[in-house]
Amino acid sequence: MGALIRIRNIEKSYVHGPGRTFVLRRISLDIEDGDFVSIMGPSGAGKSTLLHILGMHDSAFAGEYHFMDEPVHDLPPKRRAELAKQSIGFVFQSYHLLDDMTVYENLEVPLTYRNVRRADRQGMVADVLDRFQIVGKKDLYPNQLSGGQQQLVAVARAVIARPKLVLADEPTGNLHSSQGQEIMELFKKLNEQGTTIVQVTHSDLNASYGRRIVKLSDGWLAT
Amino acid sequence: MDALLQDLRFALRMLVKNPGFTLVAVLTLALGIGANTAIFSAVNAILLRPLPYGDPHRLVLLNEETKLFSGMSVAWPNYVDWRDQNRSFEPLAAVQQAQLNLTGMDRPERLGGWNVTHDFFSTLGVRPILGRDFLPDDDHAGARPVVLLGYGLFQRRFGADPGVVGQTVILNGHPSSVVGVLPASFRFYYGDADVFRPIGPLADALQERDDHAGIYVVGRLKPGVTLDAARVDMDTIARRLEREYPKTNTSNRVALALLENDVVHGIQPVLLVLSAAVGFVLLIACANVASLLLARATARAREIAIRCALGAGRRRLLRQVLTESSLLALLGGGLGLLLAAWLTDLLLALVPASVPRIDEVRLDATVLGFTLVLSLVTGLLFGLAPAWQSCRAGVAESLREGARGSSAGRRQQRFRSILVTSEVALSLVLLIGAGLMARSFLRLRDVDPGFRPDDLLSAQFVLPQTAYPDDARIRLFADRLLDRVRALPGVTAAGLVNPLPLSLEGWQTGFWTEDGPVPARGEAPYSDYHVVAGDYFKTMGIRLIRGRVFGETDNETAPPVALVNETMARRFWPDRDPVGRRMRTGSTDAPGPWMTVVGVVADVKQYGLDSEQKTQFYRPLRQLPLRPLSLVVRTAADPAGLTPALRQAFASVDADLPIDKVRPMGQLLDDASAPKRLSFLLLGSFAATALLLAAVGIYGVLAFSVAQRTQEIGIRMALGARRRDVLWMVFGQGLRLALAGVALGVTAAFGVTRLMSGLLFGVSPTDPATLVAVSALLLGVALLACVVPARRATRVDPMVSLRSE
Repeated sequence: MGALIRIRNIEKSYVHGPGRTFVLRRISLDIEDGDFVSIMGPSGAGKSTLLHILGMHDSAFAGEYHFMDEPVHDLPPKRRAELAKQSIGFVFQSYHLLDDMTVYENLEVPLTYRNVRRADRQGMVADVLDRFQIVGKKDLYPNQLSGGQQQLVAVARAVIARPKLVLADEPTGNLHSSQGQEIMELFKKLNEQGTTIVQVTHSDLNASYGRRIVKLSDGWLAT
Repeated sequence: MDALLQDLRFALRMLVKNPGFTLVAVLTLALGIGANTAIFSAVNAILLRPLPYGDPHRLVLLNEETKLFSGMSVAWPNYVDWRDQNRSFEPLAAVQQAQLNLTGMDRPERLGGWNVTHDFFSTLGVRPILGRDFLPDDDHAGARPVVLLGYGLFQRRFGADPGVVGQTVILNGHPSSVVGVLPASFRFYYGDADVFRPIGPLADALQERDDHAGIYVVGRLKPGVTLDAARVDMDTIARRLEREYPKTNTSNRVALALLENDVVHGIQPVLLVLSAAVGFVLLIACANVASLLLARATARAREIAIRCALGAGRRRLLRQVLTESSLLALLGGGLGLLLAAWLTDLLLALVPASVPRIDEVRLDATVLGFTLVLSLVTGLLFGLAPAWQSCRAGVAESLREGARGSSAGRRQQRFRSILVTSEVALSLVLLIGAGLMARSFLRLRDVDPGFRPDDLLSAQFVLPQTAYPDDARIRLFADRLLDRVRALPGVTAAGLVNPLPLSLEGWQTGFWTEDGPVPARGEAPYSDYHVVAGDYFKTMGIRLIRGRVFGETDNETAPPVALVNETMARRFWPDRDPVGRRMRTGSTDAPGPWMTVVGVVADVKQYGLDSEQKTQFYRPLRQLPLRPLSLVVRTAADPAGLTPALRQAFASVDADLPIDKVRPMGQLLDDASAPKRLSFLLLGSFAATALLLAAVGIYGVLAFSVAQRTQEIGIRMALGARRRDVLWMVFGQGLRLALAGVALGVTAAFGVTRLMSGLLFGVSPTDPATLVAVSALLLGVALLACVVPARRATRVDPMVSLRSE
C-alpha cells in the first residue's frame, strides 16, 4: 500500500485579465497514513489553498492528487465528494460551528450526511461527548461557549465520523495559549490513536506537536 | 424520512428565529396564494367544473341565424324538421322561456318558467328526484296540463313536501298537475328555472315558419359525432329548408355551440384576465420572497459552506433549502386559504347574480388541492434560485477567514436586481390593466342612457291569457292601473313599456320604409321595438327631438302610428324629416299595415351602456296590446319607498297578478356597469397589491445593498462624498431598477393589454395617457421606497464603518 496522500506537480492559479496569478507551483508531496504534518509559511504562501485542495473542497487545480490510491484529479465530482465525506474531517480557525444548532446537533450533522441510522448516531454522539468531556455542554448553543470550548466541539465534530485524515486550518489561531495547547494535545492524542493529521499553522510550538513540517513560500515548496 | 424530519425541524427553527423575515414572507405569499385561490374557486366553478348534466361535453345549443341577425331563436316548424332530418343528435329538444304567474295560493308569484319538449331532461341527462319526467303523451295539443317543479320553488312554496306530486297548481290561470320535482343540483343557465311544462300543448300557436318565438334547441351529439360534423349536417338541412320554404327560410342558417361554452362565453374573458392578474401577483410575491431568501442566503453562505465541508452533498443542501422554502410556502398557503375564504365571500357579494354558475363558487376539495399544489410549486419557484445560489458558492471561498464582498454576493445582488426589475415590470402591466379598466368604467359612467334614472321606479308583470284573453281587457287593465298609480301620493308621472330599457331583453322585427325599396325576401332590416302607454316618455325623461309623442287619440281605431329613435331616423331618413313618413313591419309576403312616424325621440340604451346603439321604434299599447309589460313611475322622493303603495295599486286592479323585479331604474343603471366596475375593482386591488409588493421589493434590495456597502459608503464619505452624493447613489440605484422595470413593463403591456381589448370601453389597449400616468405613479412609489435606505446610507459614520473592518 502506498502513501495516504500522494500529490504531484499540483498547480493552482487565477486568471486576472490577460495574466495569470499562481498560488501554488509544482507541489509534490507524500503523506503517509498516521503522519502528523504541519504546513507552515508566511501569509499568502498558499497554505490554506493547499489544505482545501487536500480536503477536496477545491478541484480547480492542475497536477495529480491521489488519496488512498484514488486519483482525486480524475474523479467525477460526486465520487470525490463521497470520498471526502467518508475519509476527511475539517477543523477551522474560526471553529465554524452552526450557530443555530446545539452542541449535540452540531456533532450529529456530519453523521446525518453519512446516512448513519438514528440509533447509531445517538451512540456515536454520546461516545464523542464523553471522550471530549463535553456532555454537560450538549444542549448549549455555540454562542454560549468560550472560544476554546467551541474549538473543542469543532474537533469533536471533525473526528466523530472516524475519518482517516483530519485537516486543520490554523486551529488555535483564535485561542489564547493555554486553550491552544489543550487543542494541540488533543490532536496529538488523536494522531497516536491512528488518525492522520495535516495542520496549517504559523506557530513553531504547534508545529512541534507534529512529526514533520512542510514549508511553503510564494506557492513553492520550500523544503 | 429521518433526514427529512431533521430538515423540517431545522427549517421551522430558522423561521421561528427570524420572525420578521418569516412574517413578511408568509404575508407576501398569503396575498399571492389567497388571491389565486379565490379567483381559481370562481374559475373552477364557472369554467372547469362540468355542467351538472349527464356527459355534458356532448350537449350542443342550436339556434337560427341570418346574415343580418345572429342569435335568432328557432321557428317551431324548423325545429321539427331539424329534429326529424338530422343524423348527428340522439334527441333534439326545444326550450322556450315562459312568463308564468303562480296563483291560487296565499299570494301570487311571478315564476321563471320554461316550455320544453318532453325529451328535454333526458337530453340533458337529468332525472326528477320526485315523481316522473315528462312523457310523449304529455307533449301534444290537448294533453292534460302537467308541470315539473324546480327544487327552489318546491322548497319555497311547497315546504319541500313530497306530497306535492299529484297536486294541482294554477299557472297563468290554468290548473296544471305536478308530476315531479327536479334535483337541487339542477340548473338551467339562461334564466330562473322555477317550473317547466311541455311545449306540445302550446305548439298550435307556433306553426308559422317566420315566427321566431324565443325557442332554442338543445341536442346531444351521437357518440363519435363531432361538432364540426354536426354543423355540416345541420347546414345541409338548413339549405334544404331554404329551397322548400324560400319565403321564410332564405339565408337562414343553423348556429351550433357547445352548451358548456355558450353558458360561460360572457364571463370567460373576464375570468381569464383576472387569472392572469392574480398569476402576476403570485409571480411578484415569489420574486419578493426569492429576493428575501437570496439576501438571507448571502448571510447564510458560511453555514452552507460549513455543511458542505462536513459532507453535505449538493442534493442534500438543495433539499434542505427547498424544505425551508416549501414550509414558508405552506404557511403562506394556509394563511392564503383563510384570505381566499374571505375574498371569495367578498367576490360573491360584489358579482352580479346574473353571472352564470356564480352560485356554484365555493372552496371545495378541488380548490384546496389547487392551493396545496400552488403552495408547493410556489415554494419550489421562489426557493430554487436561492437554493441554487447557495450550492454554487465555493466552500473554500466562503470559509476563508475575513472573506467579504465575495463574487457570490455580487452575483446574488445582480440576480435580486433582475428579480425586482421583473416585479416592477409585472406590476406595471397590472397597473396599466387596472388603469384601462378604470378609464373604461369612468367612460361607461359618462354614457347617457337616454333617460333620467333618478327618482324612477320600475316593476315587471305579465297579464295571463286566461284573465286577459283579448286586447280590450289589456287596454282596460293598462288604463285602470295607470289611473291608480298616478293617484298615489308622490307619483308625478307613470307609463307602461315592453321591453324595459336596460333590462337586456329586446324585441326585434323586420321592417321597411315607404321611401326605400321593398327588401328582397329574408333581407329586411331588423329593428328593436317597444310598446308604450301612458306618459312613458315624460316619465322616463326621454327627450322628444321632433314631432310629438303618442296621445289619447292614437287608439285602436286611429291610423297606426310610430315613434322612431334618432339612430333609426339618421339611418333610414338620412336627409329628410321622418315625421309624416311611413313604415311597415312583417314579411314582404304578409306585411303589417303602414304606420306613420309621428315623432323622433332620443336613443335609449337597451342592452347595456357599452352596447352598440340599435335602431328603435315605439308603438302605442292601444294599437299593439302586449301581455308582458313594465310599469315605470317617476316619484317626487325616494322611489324605493313607493314599493308597498305600488303593490297595493296592482292588487286593487288585479289581486291575482304577481309583480316582479320592483326596483329603481338607478339600480338597473348600476347593474349595467357592474361587470366593468367589478373588473376594475378586482384588477385595481390586484394592481395595488402588486405595487405594494414591488415597492417592498425595491426597498428590500436597496436596504440590503446599503447594508452590504456600509464600508464602501464610509470610505466614500471619508474621501469627501457629501450627503447629497450618497443620497443620489441610493436613489440612482433604485431609479435605475424602476426605469428598467418600467421599460420592460411598457413593452410587455403592449402585448398583454391587447388580450383584454374585449373588456374595455371607449379606451384603446395602448392608451398613451394611461401608460404615462401609471408609469409616473410607479416611478413615484419606487422613489418613495428608496427614501428609508437612502436616509440610512447618509447616516453611515465613516469612523464606525471603517473600524468595523
